[in-house]
Amino acid sequence: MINLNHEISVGCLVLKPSRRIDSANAKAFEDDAHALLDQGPVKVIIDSTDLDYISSAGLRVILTTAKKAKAAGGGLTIACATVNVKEVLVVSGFDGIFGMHDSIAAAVAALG
Amino acid sequence: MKASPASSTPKAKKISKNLARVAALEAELSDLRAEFDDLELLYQVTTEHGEAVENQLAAANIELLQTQMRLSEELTEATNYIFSILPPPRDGGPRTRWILEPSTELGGDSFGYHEIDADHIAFYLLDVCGHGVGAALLSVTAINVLRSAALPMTDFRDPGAVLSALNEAFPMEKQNNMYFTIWYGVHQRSSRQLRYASAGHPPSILCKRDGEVQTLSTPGLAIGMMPDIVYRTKFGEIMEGDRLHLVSDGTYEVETAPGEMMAFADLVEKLRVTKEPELVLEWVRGLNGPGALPDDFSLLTLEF
Repeated sequence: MINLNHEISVGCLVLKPSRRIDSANAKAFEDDAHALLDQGPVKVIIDSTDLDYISSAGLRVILTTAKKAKAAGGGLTIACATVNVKEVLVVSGFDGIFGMHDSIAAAVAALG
Repeated sequence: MKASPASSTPKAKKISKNLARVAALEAELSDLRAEFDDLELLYQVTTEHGEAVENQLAAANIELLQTQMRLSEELTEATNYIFSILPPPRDGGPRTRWILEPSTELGGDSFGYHEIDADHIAFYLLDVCGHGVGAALLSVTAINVLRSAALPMTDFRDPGAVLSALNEAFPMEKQNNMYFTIWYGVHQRSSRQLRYASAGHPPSILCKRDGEVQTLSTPGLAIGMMPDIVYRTKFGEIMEGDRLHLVSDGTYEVETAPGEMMAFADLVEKLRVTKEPELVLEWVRGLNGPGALPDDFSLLTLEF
């Protein structure tokens, strides 16, 4: 069963984790995200609107999700990061590799 | 007189009926006895089996305890090894002080510093994702590679080149899907120049003698996450009296209240006013509340 908030928007899988991704729930996020990718979509947007905190365990599962999407011929990008999450994404270099966008529309456009 | 069968009299009929009842009761009794015998036998067998199981369990328990003791001894041994490869504090040029406190018995943080040549000293702190023996093994391997300058064709005075070479040497797919973040700096004494590069790692904090505070980092993914990444070197200056702090994310990523995380800026401010690493650890512990810190705490302070 998929507990992770998600929807399909203009052909992109939009994942909307709530509150935190940390060592306590990173595995569940990964399992759900990978199961959703197995259903066909290859472009993934992490909608961080409701996300307050992401730990290194959280970064890890975003990376594995990105790798899976890329291997399927798609990609992953990040949208609507809050200040705290933005800081972690910048320190980890994720902003440069995956891109950060202020809206889902901009993220959709970036994934092409 | 014609003899008549006993049954024919009412008394005889009653006796015969009673006899039949006694026989039926006897048969029932015998059945019950047999059932009782069966149950008693079953009880015996079960008890014996239970005792055997108990004995087996006790033996397994002892074995488990022994294994646990052996594992715990081996973990202690591994922890001792990790601490043994950490460099002894320096008294000067620069003076160093450090704290490494793993959140579990074995963590993924480690660090080092060494003279590259008479004019250059290197200092670095790395954090392997996750905890436990696997993370510790990669951590120790990477530190040993840096300490022994074991990367082909790499100028260890050029931090960007060092990180790019590490990224080629340690792809996560070949390291049991583990990767690590690192901050690597080199100080040239003659020119006072600081060169540094970081890979997905929190900035180092430079507290200048005049009170100014700088946070030093370069953009870049953790080592091993993606191939073919070029890490760039940045430059700065370190003067006598400056203090440089290398940290890992576990040093400040603690929950100060439900849903409230300590910010990197809080750590920067604390380091500005506190010189002793022990006091910083005590302060972070106080913010975290009772129990172990959620991640490894490591802090390396260099005083120039």
